[in-house]
Amino acid sequence: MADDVTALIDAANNGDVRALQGLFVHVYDELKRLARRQLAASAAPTLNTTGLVHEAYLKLVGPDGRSLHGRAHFFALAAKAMRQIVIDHARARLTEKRGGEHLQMVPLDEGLEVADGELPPDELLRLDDALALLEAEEPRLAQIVELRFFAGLGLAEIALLQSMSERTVNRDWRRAKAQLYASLHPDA
Amino acid sequence: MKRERVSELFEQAIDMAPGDRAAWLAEQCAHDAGLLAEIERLLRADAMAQRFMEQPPALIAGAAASAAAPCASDVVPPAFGAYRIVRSLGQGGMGEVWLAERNDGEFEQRVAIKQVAYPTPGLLLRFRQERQILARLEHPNIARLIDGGLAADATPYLVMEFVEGVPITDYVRAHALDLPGCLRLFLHVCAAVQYAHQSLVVHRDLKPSNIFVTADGTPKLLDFGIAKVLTTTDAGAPTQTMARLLTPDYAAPEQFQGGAITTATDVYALGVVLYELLAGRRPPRSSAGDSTDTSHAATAVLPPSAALEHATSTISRRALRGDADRIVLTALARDPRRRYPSAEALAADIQRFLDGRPIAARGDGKGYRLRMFVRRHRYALGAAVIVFAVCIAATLVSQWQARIARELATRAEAAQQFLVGVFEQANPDQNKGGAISAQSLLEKGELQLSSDQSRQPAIQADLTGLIGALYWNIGDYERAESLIGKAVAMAADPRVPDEIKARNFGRLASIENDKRKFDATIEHAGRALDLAKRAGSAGTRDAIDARRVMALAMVGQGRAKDAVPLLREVLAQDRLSGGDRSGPVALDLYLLGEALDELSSYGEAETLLREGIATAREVHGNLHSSVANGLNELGLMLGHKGDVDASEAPLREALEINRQLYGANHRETLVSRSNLLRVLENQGRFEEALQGRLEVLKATEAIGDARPEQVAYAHNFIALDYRNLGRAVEAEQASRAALAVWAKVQGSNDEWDSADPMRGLAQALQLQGRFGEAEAAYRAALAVEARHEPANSHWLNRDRGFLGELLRLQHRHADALQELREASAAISVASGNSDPIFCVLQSQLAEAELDAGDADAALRIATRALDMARSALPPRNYRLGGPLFAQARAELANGHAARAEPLLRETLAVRHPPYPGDDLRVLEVKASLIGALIVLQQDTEARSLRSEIEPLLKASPSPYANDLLARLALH
Repeated sequence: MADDVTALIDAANNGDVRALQGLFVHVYDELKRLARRQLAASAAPTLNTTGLVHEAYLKLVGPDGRSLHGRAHFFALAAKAMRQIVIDHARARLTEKRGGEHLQMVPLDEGLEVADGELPPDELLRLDDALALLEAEEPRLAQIVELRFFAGLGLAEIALLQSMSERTVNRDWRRAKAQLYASLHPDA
Repeated sequence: MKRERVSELFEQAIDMAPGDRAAWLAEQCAHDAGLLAEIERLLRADAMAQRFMEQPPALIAGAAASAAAPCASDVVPPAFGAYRIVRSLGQGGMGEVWLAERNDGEFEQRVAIKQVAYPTPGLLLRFRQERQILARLEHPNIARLIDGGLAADATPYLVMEFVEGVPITDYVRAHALDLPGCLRLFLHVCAAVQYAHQSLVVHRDLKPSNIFVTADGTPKLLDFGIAKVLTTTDAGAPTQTMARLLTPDYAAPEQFQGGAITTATDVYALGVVLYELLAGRRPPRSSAGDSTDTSHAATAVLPPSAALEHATSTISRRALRGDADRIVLTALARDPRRRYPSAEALAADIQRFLDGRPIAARGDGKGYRLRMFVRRHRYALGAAVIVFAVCIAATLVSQWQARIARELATRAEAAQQFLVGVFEQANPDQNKGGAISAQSLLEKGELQLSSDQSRQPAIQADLTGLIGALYWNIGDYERAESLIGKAVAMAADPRVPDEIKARNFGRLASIENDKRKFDATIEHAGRALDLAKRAGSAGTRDAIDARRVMALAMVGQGRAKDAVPLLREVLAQDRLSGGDRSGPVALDLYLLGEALDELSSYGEAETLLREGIATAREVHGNLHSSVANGLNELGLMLGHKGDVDASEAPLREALEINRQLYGANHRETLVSRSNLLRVLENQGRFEEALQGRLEVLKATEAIGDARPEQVAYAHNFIALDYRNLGRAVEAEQASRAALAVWAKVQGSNDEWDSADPMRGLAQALQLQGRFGEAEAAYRAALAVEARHEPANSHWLNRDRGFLGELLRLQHRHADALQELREASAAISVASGNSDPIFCVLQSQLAEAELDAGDADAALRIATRALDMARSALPPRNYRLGGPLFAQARAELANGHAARAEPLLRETLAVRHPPYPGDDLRVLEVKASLIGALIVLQQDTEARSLRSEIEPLLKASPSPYANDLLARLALH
């Protein structure tokens, strides 16, 4: 497993789009699988995105890890996958709430929901849209948002992965938040 | 503009002190307003976004959660200092929990050790937080923190008291506890939770597996892993990077919906646990329902008595039914505002139940009514209402929560703590279970506010303003003004955020508007608006409120025209933020309708008012002050339009609603009653109206003189009734009483409010034949009006009409004609033709033309006036008297006695009653009728009429009576 993924990471690094997609599916599935497993084994029925992403890394890539570049790539991907999972479920919850048709997205698990944290599902969806716009203009900022918000990584960890100073990451994060907040609350 | 430049300036600006930014930015963007605006927008967002996205979305476990499989950790237990691992106790939210022992040779201690599984920065922060929280909690019913440290692999761990026991549910079942036993055990749990709350900690994850009971029957709270500290002491507090976690079976609705987490969240979980202890099963999950349904949980959740697992329980269905059910369901209310506000309040009710005393959770219906009383706080006039302490505290909390929904949670929670404190002081126990008044509750709040100065300045400022506004609502104006003054003074404190400064200026403006100090209102609403704009999105609501008050003051100043666009803007904003169907939208529709009413745009005014009423009915139900207010406005507007009969139904319904809401002698009810009396007056039913007016005056005076204008209005209307009943001396006294009130309030009778009673006084004097004094009074009234109203004002020109008529009676025909012609010209430009005031003015002009010798012009003008009057007024209305009489006189002067006769008889019918038989307004008609009858050769009737009125005219002190006698002599 670890070897497959390593090969996929390498291929993706060399610009293989199919490999990238394969990798994404892998990570996405693994995250969901881990979530289920952690639930079944846990006395406290809670889990968290940060733990999941790290555990997925250990499972998919292995403890000796990869080059920093490979790690950065993996976490970027995992963060994107988490974003996808979170947004899918926000959408599902919203559909449910509005009594709409059964969701098009496959639910993560029957008994698993995405909590909204401070953000309710509809706000999460608007955030996702705003993030897509930011991505088009400043991909670096958008990636920091994915790593920080969706994958729950700390700013220091992101700085390490992105080979940037923590100060820069912090400034980018703050500007990204301001941009997103402003697009979510245009009247402010 | 260049994106790089934006980001560069933004990044430099955030490193600066906020105070230094503006000048620096202005310099940097000297020639680029667009750039400056963009940066400012980002900086505003930055200020608001401090907590935004700092909590990653979490995954919540669902049903799978309860099926806890045995832990299959393949990790070798690490060494934790002097502690030796015995076995795993399972997995917690952050990682493994171990049972360990410490053996230092002296004694053996068993402990629970908690370790972080994935040491990410977020988890570490949370871990540190739990440690800090536990360190501050020392309570016999909370598992202690013993130690903490770093394991060999550098992961931190916590060492906690190992509670050897079983979950509370198992304990209750195993010991077959009866209802009192169960409740007594549960009281200890409440005490522990209350202790945590007082230490500003919310547990957030209360459930049986976190409430263990030891062999000796002591319950212990475990696992503060996702607990939360309610107030942060400084801005540098750790941001929570952990996802929001919860246990679905025990989580309160607001936890699912991202609402504010407060002590009420724990109260909900306590309710679920209690339910489970009593009924043997859990209530349905709170995530199952819709949060917008604020109905009591009773509608959704089966009471414990009905859910009881009978076969297995030692508790009888009968014991639970009633109060025990009610306690549990109150704790389980979906809407946090309807729950017990604290674990202590829940415990107090349980204790009351155990003691066989009445519980506080009773009387929900009344609570709802009171909530309505305060919710409309800003725009309505309230009064002292006697209430149950529980109800009013819930009201305060709910009102507060509605206000702070958009604000920082810490601020909200601290404020809620404050209100809970007020509630506790107003505990029914301390009032011997009796009722307390809103007044005394507010006094307690004020006392608590001033005795504890440790609160954050922001909260202190907002609460001071809030309590001030509430005092205003219940009619304690002195305290209200002093508190709001204090609250506004706190604006100087830089720690008070702009939106709160804005709110307090808004509160000040609002009471100034009530006091009719419109210049001050506009000035302070303007400051509120500036501050609210500066506060960004946190001030959105306050900006809308400020604009609204400003518009109200403009209407008060007679600038309805300026107010209308402002109100349209406010309406649009409220629709944008709250949808088409909301309380504020209804209010905006009313205010806009009122302003259009002022502008005589009756068609649109009626449409908007009816739409507002429909909205209010939909939002609040029929029995609500907002509905009453709308009906009131509609009734008044229809009255202004001249549609007197249509105005009665809405005003009557408004009165009925207010009577039910406030009782018969409340000021609100009295205002409503006064408006309905206006209908009677418009219909000419002055005798009935006078009785009502005298009662209203008595009741208004009994309320106190803090809002004396209501007393002045009452006197003024009484004067009107007396005038129309021909009781001129009493009318004069009443007008003078009204003027005296205004002089006392405003220092003189030069303010606008005095114009109307001054004109009333003039009319009363005129009726007594005191023409000289009457003219002086008319001119005084007109001088005031000229200062405060535009030249085309309705009221100003109506009063010029009255003066013109008096000049005519004094035979100063040229002056009379000038006055009446100018007034007519001014008003006919200002409004349409179907206006009752214009009709009266025209008929006055016709009589002036006639007496000045132009019978042709008189007939022409009078004919038009009567036509218009008939279409503007209901048939047989007393106000038709003027136009009818003018027309009749003009016909007679032109030799058409046959046409004049029926007109004169009709005039008599509409004037008598209300005017009495010896009133000159009746006698003048009879004098003309005698003339017509003589021409028509109906001498018998003419003679009998003459002998009837001659003695009456001779007895009258008025110079006009002499004129009429002279006219009779000509016939």
